[in-house]
Amino acid sequence: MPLIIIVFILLLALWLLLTSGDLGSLLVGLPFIMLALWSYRLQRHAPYPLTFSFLGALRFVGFFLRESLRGGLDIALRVWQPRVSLSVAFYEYRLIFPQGPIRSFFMYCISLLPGTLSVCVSEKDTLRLHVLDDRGAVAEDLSRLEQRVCELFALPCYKRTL
Amino acid sequence: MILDALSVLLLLLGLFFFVSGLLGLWRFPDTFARLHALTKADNLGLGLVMTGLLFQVPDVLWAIKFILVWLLALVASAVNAHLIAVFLHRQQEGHDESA
Repeated sequence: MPLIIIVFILLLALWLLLTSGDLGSLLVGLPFIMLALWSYRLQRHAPYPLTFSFLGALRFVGFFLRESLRGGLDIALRVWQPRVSLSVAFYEYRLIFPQGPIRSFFMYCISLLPGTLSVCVSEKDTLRLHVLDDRGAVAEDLSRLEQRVCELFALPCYKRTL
Repeated sequence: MILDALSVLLLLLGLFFFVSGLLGLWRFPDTFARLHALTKADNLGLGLVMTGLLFQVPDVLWAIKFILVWLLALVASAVNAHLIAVFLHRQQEGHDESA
């Protein structure tokens, strides 16, 4: 089965789940599913197969929830203080994931997790990101996330070389 | 009864983080920092609200729905933040070249 058909079925299932199986709502849903499929075909990277690890997924969910809590608390602690204490900076990070879904996933996770925000891929495979506080352990946080993403997608665990 | 109390507690906590995000939008010095406040605080805020609602669901389908809503909101917030950051970055770089 072509990949685009699989994506179509997944999106259809998602829509029906969200609308509790109301078929009449497809009048709205179907055009948007088509739009999503069209945008899906716009991506330019070379396709590569995706693999998942169940255990990796479990560990990733735990990690993501913990880090979400840390990220939210970090913001709350900063905004409720009489003087906002930030030390914003740009930061360069070498990406190990090739262009495609895993890299996008990694970059979006960076934006959702404490103190870091993906900006753009500046040069070849170098991610430019914005950090809220460069006094923290940015490199450690990023390599920890990277390792969890590797586990999620069942990629061979890379050796930490710095 | 205990579940209701837990729901209320989680909803209030979620609300607290939404307000924190809003306060960050107001108090943080520049657009990049404000994007941080929105993505992180809303991620946790909506997550807590959805967890609070999980104690009120009539069946599993609704629970899945709530979790999906949270995940979709996360994707939307991360993609939005990224688009705004890219736009801002390009604008600033263009500004530097002309200066």
